[in-house]
Amino acid sequence: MLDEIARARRSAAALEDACARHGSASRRWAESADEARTQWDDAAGRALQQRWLEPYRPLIDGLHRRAQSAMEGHRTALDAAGRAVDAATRAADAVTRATSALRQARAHASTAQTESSTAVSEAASTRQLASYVSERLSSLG
Amino acid sequence: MAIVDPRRLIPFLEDLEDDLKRTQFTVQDVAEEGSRSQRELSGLAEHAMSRLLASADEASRIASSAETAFAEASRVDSEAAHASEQAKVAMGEAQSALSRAMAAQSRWEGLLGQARAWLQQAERQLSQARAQLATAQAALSAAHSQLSIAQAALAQCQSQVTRDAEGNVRYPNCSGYSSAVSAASGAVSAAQAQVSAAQIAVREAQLEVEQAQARVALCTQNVAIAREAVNDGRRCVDSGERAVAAGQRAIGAAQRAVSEASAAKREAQIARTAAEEGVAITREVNRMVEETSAHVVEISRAANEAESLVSGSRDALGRRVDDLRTYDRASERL
Repeated sequence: MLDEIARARRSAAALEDACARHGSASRRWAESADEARTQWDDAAGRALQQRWLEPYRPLIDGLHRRAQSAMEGHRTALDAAGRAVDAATRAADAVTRATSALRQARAHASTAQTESSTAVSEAASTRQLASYVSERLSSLG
Repeated sequence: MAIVDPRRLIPFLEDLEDDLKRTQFTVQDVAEEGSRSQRELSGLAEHAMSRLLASADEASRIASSAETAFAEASRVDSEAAHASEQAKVAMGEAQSALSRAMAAQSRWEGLLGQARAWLQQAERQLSQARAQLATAQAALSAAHSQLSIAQAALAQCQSQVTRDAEGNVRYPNCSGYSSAVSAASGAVSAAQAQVSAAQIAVREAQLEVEQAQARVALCTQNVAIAREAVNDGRRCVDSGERAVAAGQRAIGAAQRAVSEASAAKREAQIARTAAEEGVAITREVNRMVEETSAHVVEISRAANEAESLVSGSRDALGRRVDDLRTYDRASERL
């Protein structure tokens, strides 16, 4: 689980890097596109702008926003997943402790039963012997 | 303002194409990293949920087992307390038995001492009685001898019958001898009475010796029995001590069992609470993953569209740059 968390964090970091690179590249592209529009203002240039470049702008802007949202969502989800993993670890640790305590409880109960049987058996022998002593004493008159 | 000089426009267009290419890569990176991150997160949530559900199941199972173990430990604890109580009662009986046995031994040893003293006294009396009997018997024998002598003397006297001148029988005067015989006879009777009395005294002393001997024998036997009872009583107390020790160990182990079973219940509850908390968080994570999944799908769709646009743009730009270069070369030749 910790490996998976680390991997997910690396993926989230890679997504953040990619978003940052994409933001930088898209800004630079927008500047180039603006520059090209001012420099290449004939019919062919405007046609190319209209057909290819202008639709690209909102597309990559939207993609960038989506990526930012996804990144934020992943970050939040990752934090929550970290808490879930903590809870899973706590639960597993408690299960381990409970299992150990249960094993101990059973072992002690078994010992107690054995000792109780010994005590009862010894008590019976003791009383029998005491009774025998009393019989002997009563024969003395 | 339109630029007509291709040599100035070509670098702009080439830069634009490079920037497009760069965004194409970054768009692909974002889409890939978004998908990968999504997959990692989904996998993580799925694994966490799986572990949490397994822990919750395990915690429920252990909680149930812990309840059973607790009930069992409580039962064993009660049994141990009962066994310990039995052991203490038995120990009390053992100590009482030993105490009574020791008292009996002491009492019968005292009685044995008294019986031995009595026997010694009776034996001394018997000895004295026998001595007195012997003396009486000797006296009787002497009296018999005296009587015989007196009787012989009397007979001697009585045999001396004479006749006087006239022929009359004349009897001797034996009254002295008769008196002597009478006295000797009285002495024999008296001696006989002494012997009889001495014999009675001997028989009585003998009887007392026998009674004392019987008493000594009885006391000796009872002392032996009491000593065996003391030995048995000591074994009895040893057994009682073992019983009490086993009872104490049973109580200790039972209390540890109760304590551990309580700890198991407590830890199982902690595990259940943590697992339930984790499951709730993981459900929230899954909801977040679902939400971001929509973004990632949109990113992939936008990336595909961008791919198409970039491809068309680069083709168009490439063609335009080629046209401009052709135009530029033609202008140079002119």
